[in-house]
Amino acid sequence: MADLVTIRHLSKKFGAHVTALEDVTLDIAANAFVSIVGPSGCGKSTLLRLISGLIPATSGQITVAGETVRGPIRQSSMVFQSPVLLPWRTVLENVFFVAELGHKKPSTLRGRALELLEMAGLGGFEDHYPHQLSGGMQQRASICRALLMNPPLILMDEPFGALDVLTREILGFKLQEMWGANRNTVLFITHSISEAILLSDTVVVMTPRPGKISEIIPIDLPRPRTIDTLSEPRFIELAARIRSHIGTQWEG
Amino acid sequence: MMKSTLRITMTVAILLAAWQYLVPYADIPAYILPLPSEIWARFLETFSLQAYNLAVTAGTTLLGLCIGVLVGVLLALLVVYVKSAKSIILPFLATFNGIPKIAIAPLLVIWFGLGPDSKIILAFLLSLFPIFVHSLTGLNEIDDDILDLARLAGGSNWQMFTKVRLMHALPYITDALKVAFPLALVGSIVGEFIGGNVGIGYLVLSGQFNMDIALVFAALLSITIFTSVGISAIGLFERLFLKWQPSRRER
Repeated sequence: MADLVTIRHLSKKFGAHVTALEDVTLDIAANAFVSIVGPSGCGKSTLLRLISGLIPATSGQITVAGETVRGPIRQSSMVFQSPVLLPWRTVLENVFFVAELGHKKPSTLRGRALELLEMAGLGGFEDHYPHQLSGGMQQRASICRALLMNPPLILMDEPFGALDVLTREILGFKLQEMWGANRNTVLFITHSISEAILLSDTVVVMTPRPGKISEIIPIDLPRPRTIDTLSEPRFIELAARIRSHIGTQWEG
Repeated sequence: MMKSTLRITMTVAILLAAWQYLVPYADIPAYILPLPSEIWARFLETFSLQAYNLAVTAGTTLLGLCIGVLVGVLLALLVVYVKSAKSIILPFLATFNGIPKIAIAPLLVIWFGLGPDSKIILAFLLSLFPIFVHSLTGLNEIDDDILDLARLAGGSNWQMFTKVRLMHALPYITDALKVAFPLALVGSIVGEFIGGNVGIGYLVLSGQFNMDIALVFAALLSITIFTSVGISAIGLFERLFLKWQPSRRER
């Protein structure tokens, strides 16, 4: 499989003294689901913003689909920790938002948008306003927004971080299902070790201060993964291996 | 909603009844405090006078308010989009806000005459600041994530303005109107107090001059009707066009 994203000796400093990332080298295969786990302050989000071109690197190189990243890249779309839906737009209009900015006519995308919403379990909610939905539903709508234009790369910055554990688990399986339908390349940032293992082809473990990659672990568990996967010996083994990289005071 | 309307109506009715039937026992003469029935009679008697003067005051108030909205929003836009304008406009407006506009009303009358111009300008000056501050907040306080999303999608500044900033600012501007509208009215009336021979402010003054206190109250009734209609119109606009707001009371 070809690599969609290549990162070479990437470093990012904020000011003179804060090194957020140091010498990160990583390849992300096309159509892969890659998670980055690590404690707060390990530069996970910084890495994501560097790849998207929203902030410039201090040194090193990133390419996406063969092109060097020099500014915000159109091939990607983002999902944030909060759904950031526009409150004056209905769910459907929100799903169109990113496409509209790229000058795509919503009318041509209506079918796909409704399909995505249906898949996300939001069928029938397309004309609701965000405030009429629960946090989990809002986040699903924001995932639909990211998927609408079918970008090669989807960057997710702790998308389930603000949700309760139960909703989070359900949404994880939902995301697996939605990803399976299209297989866009996903870079997924999370604090949760189990979430990372359940969703990913590869888990990248990072350690903080300065942010570095400590291990890249391929996840060989068969898909689709279910709630039962959590109790498989291989899952437990992988979880223990990831946890061993991260300090004992930290919970996944 | 219905329940609260009923409660307010009941309260007002009880207060008016108390005023009507208890005040006579206190032996207060009509030239100090007329009874509601006397005020109402005077209001009906002078109805065409009230309507004419109110129309004049409403005209200067609304015109001043409209200019206030135009200039206030325009200044806010300059602050948001023109970096060099920000450092000039912000301190200037902050200082300007420190001057009680009412205090410069006599000056305005000298400069712009006894006609409607001085009233319009005073109404404009009083409404400007709240509109500027609220629209600036509304235009500026956009979630960083939304801005990032737009940058990734290749959205232009113009798109961000029409699709995000303006829409975000709308409820802030209607909130500002609820403050600025009564302020603009204060501007008009004070302008009429200081110079001129027409308008509700003038009517109040002439009532006072002639010790016609019922007329003063009748003029106040006209003003109250006007502000109620104005505030209701803003509320109606919000209900029709800003229905996506979860609750107008939350903010």
